[in-house]
Amino acid sequence: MTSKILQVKNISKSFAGVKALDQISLTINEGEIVCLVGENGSGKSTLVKIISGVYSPDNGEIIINDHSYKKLTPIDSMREGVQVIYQDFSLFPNLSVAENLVINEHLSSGKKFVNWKEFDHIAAKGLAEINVSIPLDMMAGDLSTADRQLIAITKATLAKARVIIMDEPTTALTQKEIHSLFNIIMDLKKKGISTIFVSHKLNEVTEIADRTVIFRNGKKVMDQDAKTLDIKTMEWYMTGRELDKSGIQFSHVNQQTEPLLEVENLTLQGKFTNVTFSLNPGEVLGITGLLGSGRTELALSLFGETPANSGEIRIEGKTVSIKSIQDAMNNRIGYVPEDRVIEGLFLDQSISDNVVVRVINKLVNHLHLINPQSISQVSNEWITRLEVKTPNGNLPAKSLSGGNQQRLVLAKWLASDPKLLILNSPTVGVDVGSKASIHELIRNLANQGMGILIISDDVPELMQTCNRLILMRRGKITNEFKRETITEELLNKEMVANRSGMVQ
Amino acid sequence: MKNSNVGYKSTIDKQTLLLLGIFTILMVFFGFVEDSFLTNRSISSMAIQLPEMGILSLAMMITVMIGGINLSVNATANLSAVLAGLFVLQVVPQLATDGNGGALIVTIILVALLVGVLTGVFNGFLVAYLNVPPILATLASMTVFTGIGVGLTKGQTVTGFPDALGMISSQSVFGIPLPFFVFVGVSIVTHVLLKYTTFGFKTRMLGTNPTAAKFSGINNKSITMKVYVMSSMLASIAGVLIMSRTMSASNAYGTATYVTLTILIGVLAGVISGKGSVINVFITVLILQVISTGFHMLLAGVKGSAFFKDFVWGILLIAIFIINYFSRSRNKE
Repeated sequence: MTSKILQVKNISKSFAGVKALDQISLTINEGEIVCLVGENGSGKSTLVKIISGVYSPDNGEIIINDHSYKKLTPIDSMREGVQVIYQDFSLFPNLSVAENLVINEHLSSGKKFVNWKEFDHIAAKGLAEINVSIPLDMMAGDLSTADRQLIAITKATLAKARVIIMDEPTTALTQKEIHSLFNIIMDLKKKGISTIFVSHKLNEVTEIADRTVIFRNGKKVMDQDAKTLDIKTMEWYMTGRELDKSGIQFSHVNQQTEPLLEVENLTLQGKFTNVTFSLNPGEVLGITGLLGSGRTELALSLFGETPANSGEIRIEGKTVSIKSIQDAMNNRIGYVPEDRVIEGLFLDQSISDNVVVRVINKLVNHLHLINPQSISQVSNEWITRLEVKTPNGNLPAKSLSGGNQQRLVLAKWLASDPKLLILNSPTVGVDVGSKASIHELIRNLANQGMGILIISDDVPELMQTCNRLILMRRGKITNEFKRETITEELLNKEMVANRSGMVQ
Repeated sequence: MKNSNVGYKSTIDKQTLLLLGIFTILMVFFGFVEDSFLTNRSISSMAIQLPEMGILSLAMMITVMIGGINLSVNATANLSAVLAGLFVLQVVPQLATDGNGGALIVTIILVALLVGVLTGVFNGFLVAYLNVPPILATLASMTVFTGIGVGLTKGQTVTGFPDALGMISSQSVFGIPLPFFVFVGVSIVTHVLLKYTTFGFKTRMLGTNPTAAKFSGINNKSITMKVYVMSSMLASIAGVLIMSRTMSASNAYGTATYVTLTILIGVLAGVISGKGSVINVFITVLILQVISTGFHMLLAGVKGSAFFKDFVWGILLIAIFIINYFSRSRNKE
């Protein structure tokens, strides 16, 4: 019954003498869901790019639908039914849903005129096939991330995909959206379409995979039935070492001291209402909830980006007014944004400049001129302290890997010596090894007396870092837990309870 | 050794080397084929002409560095000259008599700079506070500034200045005309501002990623405003130089040709959002002037020689694009 759709045999690929892929062989069967797992730089993306024809392998063979190729062009790959859904979905934001869905087919058909009725017809049929309904006339740029992803999937199925490769598809999705994505992947499976699911999130892998393939340093180190694999084993294969979570030292919070941050009845019209909580120095407080629960908006209000309409914010007992980002900074509040590329970093500028951007006003001499030596000194200090792996601080920030970029954003904020650090999804798109060390860093910072707020919907992450958790739903705090009294399962259940509440 | 970091931007920009190479080749070429090219007379005529364009190019450059553009640079230069001229002729005519040379020039410079501040605030307000796209905002202000000037002068060229005004252009130090020193001075100040002040640092950051700049606590509106004010003030200085060279003030000098040239210079010098080098702009201005003067001499008396200069500028632009393309793709390997 199972027939092989895609086979790669003994593929190797080197970049400037570094082996990105070393003798990789892999088979994808019809209707199979294969998860491709590995840390950053393990060769996953290189393999995806070889299968989709972006890179040509140094040696080896690719067999799709019984056609053998020494190297593929992107056109060959698409013609054989391989479709890749990249993280940015490659949609045209200024075109409608229908136009986005039909454009490829229209272009390849060579038609010179546009038949709008036909456009809508094809688009509607495509969406119906994967059971989603999105208005055809909406601009793709106005859609939510989840909907844009659905459009990208529909586009792939309309192009008669036999294998769909999804690159980190759940990164920007909420739990609820992840579940509907998984349902769609299961539907595709029933239709005989295979999925290659590239992911860092191991709990998702165990949920969706038929088979799991693990890469480490360009080699395939594991390829087996997903049912027989647990997360711990996968981590071991990915990192080559055991990530010990049992011995985590949580920060000790001194309950006697005055709270660092007190928020009382904070309200931002339409986003959140009457939010009240407090945070002690040395405490890590997690704020979780679904997308749209108001968690991100609350963080942005505390940081002055979208000031609250009413309510009170007190820092060390003193009422403060936070109407702008400058106000927040004057109160020594730092914010590590969710999207490090757009909100966090200056990718084309040097790593050093990124580190010192917050403190540049202090790095001047008596003539108010920038002192290049102070810049090197401060940036080197933080590059070393946060173990940002780079040969040279003068290289642009874009030369760093995802995990190191995230450390760089942290370095930028830590350099400004904040009392309160707000972290919004601090390890999105970061590999398991880096993730563990960022979590350790967060706990260490708290131990040194910093107050930390983590906004996240990554339950294992919250469990590994937070002393206390707040659950938000529709702009209100619905629940508060101490870490000692809650388990991962229970927290997941609480979020599920919220989810069923959302449907009504 | 991990994390061994060398000093702050110690490497020499590749674009600078490329431009220096082109400049040297051109000097050698014209020096050989045209005997009168490397004479004092020809060099000093170049040194009088290029500062105006050079300073206008710096005015353009700093706005491009924050992802903007200033199409009103030339209109600002002309309006500054016209208003400064009318001021000394009609408001304080006693200055426009001989013997008050120093006071006259100082007054003209101050009025011109004041006009620069006001026009800069106008542009900065449109771009930073009303969020008008810079290309539209400065296109509109270009028309407004020209309109004001035409209205005040009724379209006439303002003339009748005392000879003292011409002093800026006619004075030489060590055989090099004063305007060239003004250009060098303005370039040094701009270079220091952009590279060694927090204003310059923030300008680069804002140009690279305005969202990250905002989240890093940079006051984007204030930086944008300062950049447009500085741009306009540079344009006003160019306006004074034009005024001194031509002994007149008019809304018709330069116009669109000057604006496109400043953009061309920026592109040749590799100015983009978040990146720009005063040194590169400086060399590029020299290169364009050498080409202009060189071909002018070489083809003297040939019909259509003026167009040949434009043709060579265009070819040079394309050549630099091609060289950059290949050096970039080699870097990627």
